[in-house]
Amino acid sequence: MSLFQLPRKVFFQRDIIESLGEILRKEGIGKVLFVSDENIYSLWQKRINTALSNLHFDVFTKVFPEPEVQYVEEVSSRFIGKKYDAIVAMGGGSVIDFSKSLAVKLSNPEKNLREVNPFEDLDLNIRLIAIPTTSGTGSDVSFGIVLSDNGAKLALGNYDLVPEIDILDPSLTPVDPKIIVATGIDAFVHSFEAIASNASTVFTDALAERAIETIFENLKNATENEESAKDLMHISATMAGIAFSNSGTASAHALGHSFGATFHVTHGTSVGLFLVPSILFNSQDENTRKKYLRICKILNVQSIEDLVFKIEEFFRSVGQPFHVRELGLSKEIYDSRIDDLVQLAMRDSELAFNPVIAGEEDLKKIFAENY
Amino acid sequence: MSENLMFPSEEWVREYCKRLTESEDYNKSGKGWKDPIMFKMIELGDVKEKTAYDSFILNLKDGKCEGSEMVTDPEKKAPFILTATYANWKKIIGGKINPTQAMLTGQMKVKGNIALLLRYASAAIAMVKTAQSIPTKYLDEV
Repeated sequence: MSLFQLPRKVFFQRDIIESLGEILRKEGIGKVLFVSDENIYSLWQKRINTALSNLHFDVFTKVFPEPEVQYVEEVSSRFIGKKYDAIVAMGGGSVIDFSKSLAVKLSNPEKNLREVNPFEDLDLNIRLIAIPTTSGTGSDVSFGIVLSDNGAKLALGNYDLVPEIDILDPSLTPVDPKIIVATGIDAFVHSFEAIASNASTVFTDALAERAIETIFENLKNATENEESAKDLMHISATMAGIAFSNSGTASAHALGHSFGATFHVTHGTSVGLFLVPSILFNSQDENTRKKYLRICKILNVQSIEDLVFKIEEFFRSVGQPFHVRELGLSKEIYDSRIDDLVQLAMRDSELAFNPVIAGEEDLKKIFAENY
Repeated sequence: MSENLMFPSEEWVREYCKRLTESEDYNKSGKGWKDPIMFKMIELGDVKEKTAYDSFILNLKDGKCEGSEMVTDPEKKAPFILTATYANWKKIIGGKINPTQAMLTGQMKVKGNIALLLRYASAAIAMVKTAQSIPTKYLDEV
């Protein structure tokens, strides 16, 4: 028995936010906790309030990047007993992850969030609806949560946390090219990692392959805020999200998480830096190599070496760095932290899905060579 | 090795322990691990009459297997217990089920410090690959 899990409904249409109230009412949802952050809410407050005007709703907008466990617990205590039908999470990955955590606490106030794991049911009694406002994290369709626990990153997951309804409205996505690139590269890497993962299936491969093709063709135009490119990027990020949520990610994520946490570099940029080294490392595995060769056909190149050049060209076209040195980090400082980077990456559960088992020496070599 | 080893049996478990210590993949992915793991079989059906054991423990440390123990005492515990039906253990050892998927779908139940176990999930993959390398025959096939 393998498992493929995704939201029960995915709506995708520009400006569909204006029909949010109708969608919720049709689902039998009458009382809503609307969760967002200050920026997103201030940008779209009028549209949201109009859309929800015929429902009972409360708004919470004090969500910050990578929320602390303790903060989620404090906030949840304010809403326990309010008997919401659903949490509507509108925002980037942090807002959606915060909302998933809140759903756990509102369903079971005694539950310690740190103990959420993929193997034990959560039995949520509140429905989760996601409205992603970036095109990349995949949190709107994934089983994962990323929180902070006393400053350290805490990655949790459970299939009960896959939102029931996902609403994709590209009109809500950012116009800042830097955010578009970082999130778009995140989705691009999700797709490659879903394909490489030792838990990949035909379902996940199909979504990931199409996402790679579409992101490759549209990210550059999306940075110029071309509407159709942004629409396709938003859908592709969700396709990549469904793929990786059902396959796991792999070494580029383990290495990127470690690098990002150590040098405080954005998630998408960090995982992007380690995509090509991961492709080269994982090409040792015959089955993975064959899968990369399928991507070569899609991107119209002949070999994995050509694929690497194609990715480099793509990264440069959108302003994604290809090597660590391009971030302006000194070699001396980088080299002095390699042992720490290796230890952090070795502890990352995403390594479990890598098709080639990686040890400390392997990771050390990848980090050192990628400066 | 010319003859297939019966699963479960003392010979199979000893060979497994030996091969884990020899496995480069397990050596590197299990580095830092400190606790024994119990492997428990349930729903043995007709197989139950053919074996004295439904569990065994591997003493795993730092990417090596330092010894094994066949378990007959149903009260016996270990810091980590992996439980599956005999049929599912066969599928896992035979490479028909990915162990991570087996845990996610509940085909393999996990008891112990799950956060720690997740950090060593690639060691679990290496362990399964090692088990797959052992020429194995099964109690319900003889």
